[in-house]
Amino acid sequence: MSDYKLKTVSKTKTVALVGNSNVGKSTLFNTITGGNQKIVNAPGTTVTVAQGKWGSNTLIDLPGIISLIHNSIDEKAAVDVLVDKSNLLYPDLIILVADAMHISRSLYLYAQLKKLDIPIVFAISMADIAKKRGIEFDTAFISKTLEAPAILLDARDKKSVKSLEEKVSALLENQSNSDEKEIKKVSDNQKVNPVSFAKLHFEDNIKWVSSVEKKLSISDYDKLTFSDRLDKVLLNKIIGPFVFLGLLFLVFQLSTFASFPIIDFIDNQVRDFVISGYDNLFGTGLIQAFIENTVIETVFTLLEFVPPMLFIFISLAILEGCGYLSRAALVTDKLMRSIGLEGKSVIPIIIGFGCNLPAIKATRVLKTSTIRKSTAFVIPYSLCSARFSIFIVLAHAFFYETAGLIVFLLYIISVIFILGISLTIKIIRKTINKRKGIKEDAISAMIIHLPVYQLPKLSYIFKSSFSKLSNFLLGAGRVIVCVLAVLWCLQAIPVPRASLDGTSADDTFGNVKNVNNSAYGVLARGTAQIFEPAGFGDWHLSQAVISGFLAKEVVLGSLENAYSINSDEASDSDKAKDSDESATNSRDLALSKNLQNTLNLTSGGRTSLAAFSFMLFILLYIPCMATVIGIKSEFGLRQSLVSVGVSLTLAYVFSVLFYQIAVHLF
Amino acid sequence: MLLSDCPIDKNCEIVSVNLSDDETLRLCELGLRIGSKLRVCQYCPFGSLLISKGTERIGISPHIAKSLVVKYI
Repeated sequence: MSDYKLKTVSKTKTVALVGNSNVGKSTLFNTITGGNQKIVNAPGTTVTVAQGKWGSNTLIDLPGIISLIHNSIDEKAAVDVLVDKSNLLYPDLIILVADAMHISRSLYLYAQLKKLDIPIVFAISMADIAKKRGIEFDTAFISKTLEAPAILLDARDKKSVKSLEEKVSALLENQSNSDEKEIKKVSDNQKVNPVSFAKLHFEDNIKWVSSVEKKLSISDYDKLTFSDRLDKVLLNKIIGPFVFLGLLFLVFQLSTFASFPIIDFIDNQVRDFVISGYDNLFGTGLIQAFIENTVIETVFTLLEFVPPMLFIFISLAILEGCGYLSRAALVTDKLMRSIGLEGKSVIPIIIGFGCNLPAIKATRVLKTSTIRKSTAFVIPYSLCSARFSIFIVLAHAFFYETAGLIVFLLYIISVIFILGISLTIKIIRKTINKRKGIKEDAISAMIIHLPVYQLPKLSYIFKSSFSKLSNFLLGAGRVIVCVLAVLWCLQAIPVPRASLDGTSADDTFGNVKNVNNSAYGVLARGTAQIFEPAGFGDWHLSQAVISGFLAKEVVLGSLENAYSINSDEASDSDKAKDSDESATNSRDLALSKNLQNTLNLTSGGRTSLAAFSFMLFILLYIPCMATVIGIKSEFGLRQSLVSVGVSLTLAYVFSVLFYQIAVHLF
Repeated sequence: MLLSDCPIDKNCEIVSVNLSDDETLRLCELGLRIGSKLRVCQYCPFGSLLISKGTERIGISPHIAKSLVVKYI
């Protein structure tokens, strides 16, 4: 629940947070709504708008705008909400968030918005930083000048937000008393043409801004600040890119190597403890097995994502909170724009090489929805650590001395696909925009207003990171438990195959000894035929592909399971019983032998080619169900389905193409 | 003199903008218009510039920097 409540209004009203990008709207939105928020599409568009409850009212966080003259889909969606009285999100009140250090731009926007007949609260954020630079704002004077309530605001501070709440409450109460607005809203259904409206008043607005700047004594010059000195290093032509890569490397390490021991501990110690305790308490009946394989398995599947996601959320919140992320965009912007993305896109893509799911969530640092979607679309092609663990085993099994080179080659292929798909999306977007006559905003893309460096507020960072994490876990948990339940049922249904091995006669529901003799086995055998042109048409591998859709971490386990490899058998066979490590190695060895035999049969002796084709498929098809759920929660069902469809198609086409061409060449 | 050629820490003023009308309008809305006083703070990687306009710090692309004609003040 929100900490803040609007007490004085009984009827639900819509309050919109409006302002330029990077002025602290989202921070304010998160402070007010806490975890009580959802993402909706702006009516008639695919642009997402964050919506939350503020007491009995609705608070919306509109995409950043510079003026009513919109230059992107996001800006158009935000402007349409403000000028179209029939729009479902049309606000009863606007909170115009203005950055104290960049107040002139906000004054220009205010000059346009005040003509829209919607009450405005002028909230000046980052006034504390301005004060340190000797810039003080007299809110009474500003209120009088703007003819609207003005307030100094620290978007991360509860007390400050409380003062804003009082101003908003007072305005909404006045509205409720008069009812004039409500009548007007119903009867006056016309839509203002924002572009002609803004152009008509352009000269007047510029003059008005200049006069207000003079009244507020806003200086044309500024002394050299601490931020400037820091920028001399962090944005230096030579040092800048290395600082950026160093910080990115640190975030990547946190999401992977720092998370590994925690994930290992959860996966081994905690899981074993919980499952053995559960078995001792409830026994091993059918219902108990169902609960263990669905509910408990869901909890542990999700828990394994907690460490990397939390590390990423906290790292990014710190980088954003201290003001570095905008600088990072400036460092890489030119390079990323050449492939149709923007500077900050490099952050989620690099994180994707650790784990795709937090990378999808990290696209929130991008402010433009088209760029966010394009970036999220290419993230699943980054070679995550879960795929890496599969490739290490497979490369050693099939390529021996050149295993390292093969894994490196797969990294290169991953990067090529990211670049290729980004460029393809750029071309498609340009073609569509050209046909529809939509102009891309080249100018605002080339100008980045940089915030002042500041110490991030840790309490806010932790609160917002945990809030994002819990929102995801609750949403994803429901889907994962359902999928696991279906998989468990398929594996529990016995399908006798006496004609082949004659060992399944004793199998009963929930007690199928060999997965090949279950409904899941039938599905895997059916799917296996599809993979014949790719050189790995065998049920052992096809069932691993199906399991890998759940999580890539389970691919090796499901292969071991399908080949009936367990540590005891493997250790017996290889006379290696000294330690857990040797048991794991012997399991890998047994798995390698089985895989070599299988691929030898499916490829007619071209095992290496079939193995590489299999690895190519694993690299390119959708990373895991959690990532798909992540895409759905961030961008909607359509994008998640398109993403799955395209990745499956590309994976299949390229693995078949590779295998067929390689077979003809070698 | 083009802004892209302006030395670091010299105060200057925009005297003309070599962009289309729509682009000039956008630039104006973003706070960079004829008469705006600014200072180059830093030359950044890949040709971008960090400029100071009052208390604002703005990163601009090489394309924009080459489109703005400035004079010393």
